[in-house]
Amino acid sequence: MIKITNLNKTYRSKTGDVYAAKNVTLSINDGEIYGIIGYSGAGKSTLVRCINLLEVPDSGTIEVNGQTLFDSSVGDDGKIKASVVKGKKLSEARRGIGMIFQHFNLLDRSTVFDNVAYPLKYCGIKKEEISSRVTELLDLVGLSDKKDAYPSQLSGGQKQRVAIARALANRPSVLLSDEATSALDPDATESILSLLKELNHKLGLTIVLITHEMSIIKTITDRVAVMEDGEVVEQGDTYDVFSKPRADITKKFVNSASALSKLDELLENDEFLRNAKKNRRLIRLTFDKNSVGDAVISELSRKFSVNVSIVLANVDILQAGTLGNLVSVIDGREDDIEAALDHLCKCSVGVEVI
Amino acid sequence: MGEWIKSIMPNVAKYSSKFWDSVGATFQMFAIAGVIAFIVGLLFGIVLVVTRKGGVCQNAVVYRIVDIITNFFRSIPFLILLIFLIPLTRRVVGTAIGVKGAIVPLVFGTVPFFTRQVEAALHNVDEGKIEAARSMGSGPVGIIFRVYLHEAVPELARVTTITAISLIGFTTMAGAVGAGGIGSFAIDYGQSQNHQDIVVVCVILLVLITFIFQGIGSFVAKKTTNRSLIKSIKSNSNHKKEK
Ligand SMILES: Nc1ncnc2c1ncn2[C@@H]1O[C@H](COP(=O)(O)OP(=O)(O)O)[C@@H](O)[C@H]1O
Ligand SMILES: [Mg+2]
Repeated sequence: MIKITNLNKTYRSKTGDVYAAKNVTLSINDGEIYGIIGYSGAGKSTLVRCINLLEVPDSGTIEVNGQTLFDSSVGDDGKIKASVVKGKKLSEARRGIGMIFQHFNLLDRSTVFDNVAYPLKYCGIKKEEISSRVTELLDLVGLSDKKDAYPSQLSGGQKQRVAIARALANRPSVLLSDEATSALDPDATESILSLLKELNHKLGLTIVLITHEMSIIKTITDRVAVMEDGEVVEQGDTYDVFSKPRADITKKFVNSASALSKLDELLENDEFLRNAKKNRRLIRLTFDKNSVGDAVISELSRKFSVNVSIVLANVDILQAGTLGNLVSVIDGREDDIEAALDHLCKCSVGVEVI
Repeated sequence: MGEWIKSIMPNVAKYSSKFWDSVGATFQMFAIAGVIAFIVGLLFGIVLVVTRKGGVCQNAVVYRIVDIITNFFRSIPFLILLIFLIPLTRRVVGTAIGVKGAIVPLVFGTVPFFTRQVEAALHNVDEGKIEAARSMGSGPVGIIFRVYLHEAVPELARVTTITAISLIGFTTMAGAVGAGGIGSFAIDYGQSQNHQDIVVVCVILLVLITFIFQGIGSFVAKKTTNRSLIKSIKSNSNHKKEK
């Protein structure tokens, strides 16, 4: 369990202060994949870097697996007094939190084996033990045959696998992933995401995953927080956020990962659609995981003598289930249309007249 | 062979024992000052990198002090430094002349140069690697040895070579103020007595030393960069294919 409460972090510079994290409160459950999405500069990295104290917050609290890593209180003089875990204790805590990065950050002059062995060395672990643990880890990420290679001989995806193995060396319960697939091609991205999913299942690993791509959030995360200008503007089950986005920025992200983003464009260019007048309505239907199999459309035209033509359709496969969207035009007599819309509202289908 | 040398380099042959003494003195100055300057410069370079803003042991006061000292001594031309340091040298080693007297100014002349080079070399180590090391629980000591120094080896080999070559130059300059060595020999027995062959031999020797250093440095830098490792692996496998 990771608990962050009222976290604030400001970067001070000559050109002005940057509020990279503003009053952020989050809790991340054991064994879940938690996504944090936002545009560049939203404060995502700052937030995860606070979790393992690579960045020390100004105020707030951070608790990881029951251990308070950072705490602050306001003293009698009105100043913020912070207590931070330091030294050996901090090193210990960090060993329980793995981290992977956009640019892998492997040691170029070390072999794959030595990179993975890095966190195990100088901790009083016997050589044979290190060796067998590294072998095990490379097996886990599917790189057993590359143990003597150097990072420059590996592809991006392979490098990230090495980084994942290295991050897991001390059997952490949490893995922080800061844009880990942003430097990878689509194939490699997919394979790294499925590896993360597998590790999450197999090891019960809690994963905090930062990205600016909604498609990644969609395919892998259980819950998500949306960040903008240092603030968490929306959070919840990924499915809920995706099917009913509230904040504008969330809507943008959702559209970016869906064919429905073309709707606005379509409306703008298509006179016929835009001028929905009498006897015709443009509607958007949302099918959630419970209604996605329902034969709503054919039912409509059968029962209400209206014509339904599909303008745009999209199905998203999320971690928690399927989400369908349908934009269509209903033609018919006014009272038939009204009745049809009434009926739709009674089904477990979301209806929106555009 | 002896006859041949005598015929084309009469003065070198005449003063051959003095010549070898001067080579020995240069080597001595170079070795002692070099080892000290290497250690001190490396240390200062590390201190500058870790104490700078955002470094792993950020400390503005320490950074400022080392930075100013380095800049101060770096801005003094070596010949002036030689004279400037005479009182200090006397106090430290008891004399300001000879090999012993040359060590102090040589160290002071070389350390700031080397410090900056080391600083630049370590600075080149990707910030991300340090961050990764921190995330794995490495402390400052671990980061210095296991990341900074480890990753910068080829670059350090390169800057050490450059520094060694400039140190050789300094030893000959120290010769001008009576430190002994090849520089003194070239001036006292060559130039002052109008023995051109001595000057030529000294020049050839210095050029040779420089080339050897450069060769060793480049070799080490190449061997320690794993880009070249790849090349050697690739060429090996190519050989295999050809067979
Ligand atoms: N070390 C730093 N010094 C000053 N400003 C910083 C620093 N790190 C991040 N920032 C600023 O904080 C904001 C959030 O940055 P970051 O957390 O990296 O965002 P993200 O990861 O979402 O792209 C940005 O405006 C960035 O410029
Ligand atoms: Mg970032």
